[in-house]
Amino acid sequence: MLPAALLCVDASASAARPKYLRAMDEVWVARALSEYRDREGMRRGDFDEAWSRKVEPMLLAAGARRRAADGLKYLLDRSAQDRIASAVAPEALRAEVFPLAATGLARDQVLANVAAQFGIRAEDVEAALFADLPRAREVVVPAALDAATWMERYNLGLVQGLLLRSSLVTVDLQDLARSVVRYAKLRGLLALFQPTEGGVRMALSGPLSLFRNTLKYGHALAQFLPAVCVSAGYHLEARCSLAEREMTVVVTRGDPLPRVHALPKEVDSAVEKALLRDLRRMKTRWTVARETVALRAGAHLFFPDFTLTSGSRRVFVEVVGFYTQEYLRRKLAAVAAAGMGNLVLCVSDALDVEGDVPGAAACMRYRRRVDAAALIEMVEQVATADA
Amino acid sequence: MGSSIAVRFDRGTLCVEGAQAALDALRVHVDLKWDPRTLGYRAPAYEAAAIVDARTVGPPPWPEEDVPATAWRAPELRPYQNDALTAWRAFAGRGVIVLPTGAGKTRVALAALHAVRAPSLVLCPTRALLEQWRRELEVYFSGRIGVVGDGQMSFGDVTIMTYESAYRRMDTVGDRFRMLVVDEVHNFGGGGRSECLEMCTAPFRLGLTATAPEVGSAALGRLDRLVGPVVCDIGLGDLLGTHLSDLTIVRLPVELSAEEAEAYHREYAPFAQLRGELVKSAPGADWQALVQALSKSAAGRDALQGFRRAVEIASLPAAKRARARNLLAQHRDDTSLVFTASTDDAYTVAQENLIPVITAETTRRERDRVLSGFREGTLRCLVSARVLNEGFDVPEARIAILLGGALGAREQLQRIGRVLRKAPDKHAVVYELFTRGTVDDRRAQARRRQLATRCAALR
Repeated sequence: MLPAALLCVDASASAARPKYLRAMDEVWVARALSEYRDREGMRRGDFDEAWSRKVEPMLLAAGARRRAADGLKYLLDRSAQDRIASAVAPEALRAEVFPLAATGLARDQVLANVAAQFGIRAEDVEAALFADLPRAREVVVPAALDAATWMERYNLGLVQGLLLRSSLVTVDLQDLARSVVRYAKLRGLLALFQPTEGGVRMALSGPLSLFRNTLKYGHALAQFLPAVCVSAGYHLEARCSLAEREMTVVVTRGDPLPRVHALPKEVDSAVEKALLRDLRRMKTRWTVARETVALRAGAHLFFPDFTLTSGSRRVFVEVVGFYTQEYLRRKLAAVAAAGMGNLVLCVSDALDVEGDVPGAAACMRYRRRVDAAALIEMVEQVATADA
Repeated sequence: MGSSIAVRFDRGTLCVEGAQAALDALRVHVDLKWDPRTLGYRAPAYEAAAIVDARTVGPPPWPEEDVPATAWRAPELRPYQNDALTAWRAFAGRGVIVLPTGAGKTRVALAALHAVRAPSLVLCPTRALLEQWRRELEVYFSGRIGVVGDGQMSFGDVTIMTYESAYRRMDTVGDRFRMLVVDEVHNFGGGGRSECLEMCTAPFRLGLTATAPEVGSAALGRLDRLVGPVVCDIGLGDLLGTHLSDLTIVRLPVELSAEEAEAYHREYAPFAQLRGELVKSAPGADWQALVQALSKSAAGRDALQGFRRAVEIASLPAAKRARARNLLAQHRDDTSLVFTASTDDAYTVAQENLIPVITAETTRRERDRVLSGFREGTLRCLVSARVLNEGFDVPEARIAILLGGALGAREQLQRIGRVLRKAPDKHAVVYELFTRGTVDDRRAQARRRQLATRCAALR
């Protein structure tokens, strides 16, 4: 992700747009990569000096924007695994040099004594004393030095850097809503949903966002971006704080962002993971699916955790483990109003909900783990009744 | 008010449920809001004490059990430390104590922890201070001490955590403590990272600082809301020579060499010219506005870069380095701390004089080794740019050599405080080196003026 100082947006319109690298930038990007490669082995401090004095002016002359050039270098630097150019670990040298110097021995004598101890020359001791500092290390060029790859990385880093400075993100999704929502929730984000023409709109923020603009959730919002990019159609708006200005940044499906990311597999809570494993181990006529469509219950949308299918019969299962009773009450009222007879709720004992839960066809309790066999039994009953 | 309010910690906030009348009454004095995302009422976690005071049902959102009294040994307090503790308790265990560096703020905090005997969290700004707090705690507390930060992750009856770790983790652990101690609490005055304090439910809160924000400032208001009011403010002048050591400040001007002067003026001139033009067009513009205006043009950006290079030249010219060498030789048998304006300068001084350096880049293992060598006397001098500014406790240090500073009077006061801890026959000496006729000189003068308003001895 790019840091705040290197982010660039076009804020001339009402909504700001990230200034991406596009095809016309490929020439200077390729040049930058070539210059980077040519300087492999230089000390990082010298490298940076040479870059700002020689390479950057060259890139600017070739059409690069200064921040874009700096941003690309930043990402390259972050990928580089610079090495320590010293035969002896600098820390080991320091551990000997400083106490010896504190005895009052002359500087040259200190270096000579330590050099003899390690079997190297005194000037090598001096040169290696802080050779592990970032600016003293030797540059090692990162792999995958082709312009197209780095332009994509830059564009993703740019948008993620903007999201890192965001307090609220609104996304219109045409598909994969459930997976994206679950991924967001696992990152501690809260979502507000609204059905739209052909999809769903979700507003994502964190619990504390209710009280003030906070960048606390920026990291979660930024990490959430690749999940959105997988969707066949999306429109994202982020409320960002940049250079002490508040602005709305817009990102859409047509933007030059990489779409190679797969939705992360680990999007389930421990309870759901265990349940899915148990259901799949059981010999049952029901097929278990994690991906479902969003269900509309009045004005609300919700995303059942599992869809169990047998022939033409379908039963939805939702695991409820981390909500307030107030939330549950209102949600179930909406479910009841929508008359959903094929929904099974698994409610955590921790929620302390008394009696049957209104609105659901069936409700079962669990403490730490949902009993898969009991659930299948309940699913059979619900399916029979619903038929 | 009705008594049917239940409260539950939820990711750094509180979910509050109850009869509508009770909630409406609560909203009068608590930041309670309807959250459409979860269809319930929510409040920031730091409001927990106010909500629980309003008579809730069910357990409070913090641990109720006490730490066994036998785990604590009462720290011995000086009279002014005792006064500070009494004042804090009089404010219901919420407030900020202002004591000069070296006056024993940690000791007061330990006494407060001992008095409350609750599962507690101590927040400190740097990794270097984690170990220092642990050592201090171990003297008076035999229970479990947890450390979170600097690669460590354990919770105890008293847990020590860096600000950075707290920022990342408080939403998951903010309900584990009944008391919160915030070392160097002024760092939260600006509002940055204040989520560390907002997402914790602890009802008892103690802030420690040597430099409280100005009375009436927004920063002080913020601390008041998140930690409590300033309950005790004792200045350096009140303790110098009695509970703190005597102090002499020696100001040593140095000159740029001809070559350095030429480079300095060459780098500085474009900035000075553009600044002059901007000041004419926008009188009263502050530094931030100036930087923003200059950043808009290529010439302005070049001028800013030139200015930074000029500052670098003035911060550590050859004459300062030579003077530092002489001072270190002169005080070879003393324990000394050297402070520089930048990390690069700190490494330069370390390399030239073969003295250990502590910066943010120093690993925990090496830092521990250096600090222990310093305490044991196998090392006599340390150099640092900022890490040693705050809270670092070196009882033996007598000499401070200030080669440059970038953060103003507060930083200067903290650095001077590093050598003021009282010891028999101790007379602390602070050398302040500045480069005449440069931005370094002007910064030193500004610091001096600000410090003089706080303490006559620092004139």
